[in-house]
Amino acid sequence: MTRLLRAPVAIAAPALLAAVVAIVPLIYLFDASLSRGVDAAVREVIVSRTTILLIRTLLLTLVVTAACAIVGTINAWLVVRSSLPLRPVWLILLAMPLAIPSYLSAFAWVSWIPTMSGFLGASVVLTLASYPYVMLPVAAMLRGADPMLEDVARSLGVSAQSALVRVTLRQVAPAIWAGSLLVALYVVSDFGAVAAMRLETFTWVIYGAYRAGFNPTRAATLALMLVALALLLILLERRFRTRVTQRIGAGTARSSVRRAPFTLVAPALIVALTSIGFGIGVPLVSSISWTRNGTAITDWSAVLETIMSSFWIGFLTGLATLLLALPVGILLARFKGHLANVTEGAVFVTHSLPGIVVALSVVYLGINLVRPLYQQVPLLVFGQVIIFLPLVVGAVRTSIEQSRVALEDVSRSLGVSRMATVFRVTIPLATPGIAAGGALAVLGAMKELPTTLILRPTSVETLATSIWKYSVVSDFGAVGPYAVALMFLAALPTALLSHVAVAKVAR
Amino acid sequence: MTAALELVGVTHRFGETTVLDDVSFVVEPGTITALLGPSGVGKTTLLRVICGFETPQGGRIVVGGRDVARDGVSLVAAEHRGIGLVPQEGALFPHLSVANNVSFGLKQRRSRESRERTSHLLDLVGLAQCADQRPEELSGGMQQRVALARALAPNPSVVLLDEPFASLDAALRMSVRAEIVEALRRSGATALWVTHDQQEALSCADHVAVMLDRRIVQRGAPVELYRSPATQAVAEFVGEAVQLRGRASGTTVACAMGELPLAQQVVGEVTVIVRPEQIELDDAPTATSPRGRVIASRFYGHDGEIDVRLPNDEIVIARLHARLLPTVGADVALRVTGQALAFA
Repeated sequence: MTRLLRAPVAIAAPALLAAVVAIVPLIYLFDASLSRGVDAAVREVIVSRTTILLIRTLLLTLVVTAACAIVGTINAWLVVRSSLPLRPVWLILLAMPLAIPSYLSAFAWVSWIPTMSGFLGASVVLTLASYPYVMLPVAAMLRGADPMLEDVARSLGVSAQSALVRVTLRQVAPAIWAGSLLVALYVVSDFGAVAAMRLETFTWVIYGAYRAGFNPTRAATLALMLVALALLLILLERRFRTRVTQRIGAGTARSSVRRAPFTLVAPALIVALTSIGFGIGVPLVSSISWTRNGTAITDWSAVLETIMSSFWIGFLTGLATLLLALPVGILLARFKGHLANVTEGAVFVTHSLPGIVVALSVVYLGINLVRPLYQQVPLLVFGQVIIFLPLVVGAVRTSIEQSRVALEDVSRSLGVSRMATVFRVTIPLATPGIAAGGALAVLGAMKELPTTLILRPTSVETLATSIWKYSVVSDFGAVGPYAVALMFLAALPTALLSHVAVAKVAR
Repeated sequence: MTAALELVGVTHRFGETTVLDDVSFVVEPGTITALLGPSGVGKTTLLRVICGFETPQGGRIVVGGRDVARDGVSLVAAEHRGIGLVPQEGALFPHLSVANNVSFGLKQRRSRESRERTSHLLDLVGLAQCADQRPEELSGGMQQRVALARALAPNPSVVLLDEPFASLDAALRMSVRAEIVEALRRSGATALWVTHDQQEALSCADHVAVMLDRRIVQRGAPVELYRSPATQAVAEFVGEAVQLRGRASGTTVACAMGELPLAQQVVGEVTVIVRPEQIELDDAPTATSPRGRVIASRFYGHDGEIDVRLPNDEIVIARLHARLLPTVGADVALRVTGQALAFA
């Protein structure tokens, strides 16, 4: 039954603000793209370089997504259904690549095997960096899936192996699809790995066009094409995501989970060990050895200062994103109507904006509208809020939707106003989702490279920009301390996230 | 005396679909009224309309003498209506202790009066020892009692209970139901109790309002409802009904079970309704006694039922003492005690 309730102003106003925040940059992007007329923009689209760019980007996306679907699903199965000891530890270790920025892995690989540079290197690095996007939802869905079905298949004379393929894999197929589309979205948006691997995809070329004399038409037009591509992926992802949550929400009979025998586990274990070894091992070992063998004398006070500014910007971004995401999440989950539809649409479109695109559009916005704030911390935080808002809204919204509406009805029938109910019932019940959302934003902000590169004040260095700055000139001795610091800082929110993501359906 | 709750011609639609159609009834102070109807008849919507979560398009809702909604306008917001709600499965706040659940709706929750009120109510529902426990540590029945205490705490004009025992198993339901009714009686509260379980409605409530197909079709004391249902639909819904074709001639009706006295005056072709407990085995049959063959027999323990096919192929159900149950295939003679109902 739809609830035709009007949202209180204290919810509606900030939610509308969030919608505006989310959509304004895109308007400036259109403006920049068309600044030299429609013809100029169309010419940018039809030049042959663009076609090659598009093909290369799509090919990379396809390869990485397929690899992630396989690796992610095998790893998910291993941590949920195997007889392996210490499965929760394996889960966190396998999720850890989320804590490592793709550009850092890419530089680690290139410094180790220089010939990896290019398509192969980018594929390997992006697969290792993004298979957790498949693993986490599949693991969650496997936890919720009814193990009885596999038993039934076995009782009908089907072998363990084919029961796995014919029953279990089918059960979690929606999660595999949803996760894979997230990976695809991540690959088309990624800037760091392709830049480090010197592979010309959309993001890297857009950055080049921006740096090379600020041709707004070319950069903005390519950015719009990238947005169109991402929007397509996200439309697909949304179709699958609703199916996933519906299936989980239906509440299947959850008896004890069946554990697979070791003969089945052994090959999966090889995949998992490879994921961990190459996904975390290579960047971690490289960073530590860079630090130890560094010829340059490390300026520890500079490192500390960088850690503090990374932490500070991450904290501000997390806080600002949560403050906007909370009213939006509440609006979307509880007050369906025109305002909710408009806000959802805006946030939804924003989800398809890669970091480099947001950075560009915020630059145009800054130059045209709020020049005093250009290359100041508030505008940097603003840009990062736009990037992480959809993810945080998703986390908050899901956890609000999971709590019962009846609780809020009871609260109001007891004489508590709608706003007071939000603070006394809705928010406390959604705490896990809010914490996960905050962690997501902080983690993202600490890793985020293109936005920080373009929008940061010239005097401020973050861990991400420091790693970038020294890596592009191959001064890996100087990169080491920053890389180690970033990985350790990011490990904490990553552990929290993987725990919340999988525990949600594991009660 | 002012009614605790009064609905006058309440109408509500979701888009094109009418969910409530001219619903009117009164709940007197200090009484328990059951709102009885099958699933999907609009009962939950009616509760939400009374609570103020939905605004009805037409009609008037009066709580304690004060209009809260009239002619499509909500005059008083949900939180100011003074209506307690006990939803399905209790819906206790999982992040609060039992005591904090109960005191949730009180002003100045930390004051001494609030604490006293809370412990008084927990006493009333017999859960004083559970004050500091978490909701998930309680059984389903205990959670329902806490939910009632919580709803009663701010002293509402009327408490609404929405299928409060739907999630409990049959054995538990009986005892929890008795405890809830006793707590309601002791607190002197006024209650509107929504249920689809006719046994629950007939045994617990002072009045029963029967809701069929989006409207209230009859309201009355349980006995009245069972003995003199206003329509055939009510007769079939409240209690089990044996249906026969018949021809009524004022005070009697002729049907396959013979010439039966009628509860009300009817003339013409009618549907005759008799309750299974009115049909007995005739141990001294005469030539005119209705006869038939037993085609099914159900043993319930304390009693049982048989299905009997009459010579004209109509089937009647008789409720009998368990030790009197004939075997399937036996030919039996029957008689009807008391008055029959007839609807044109």
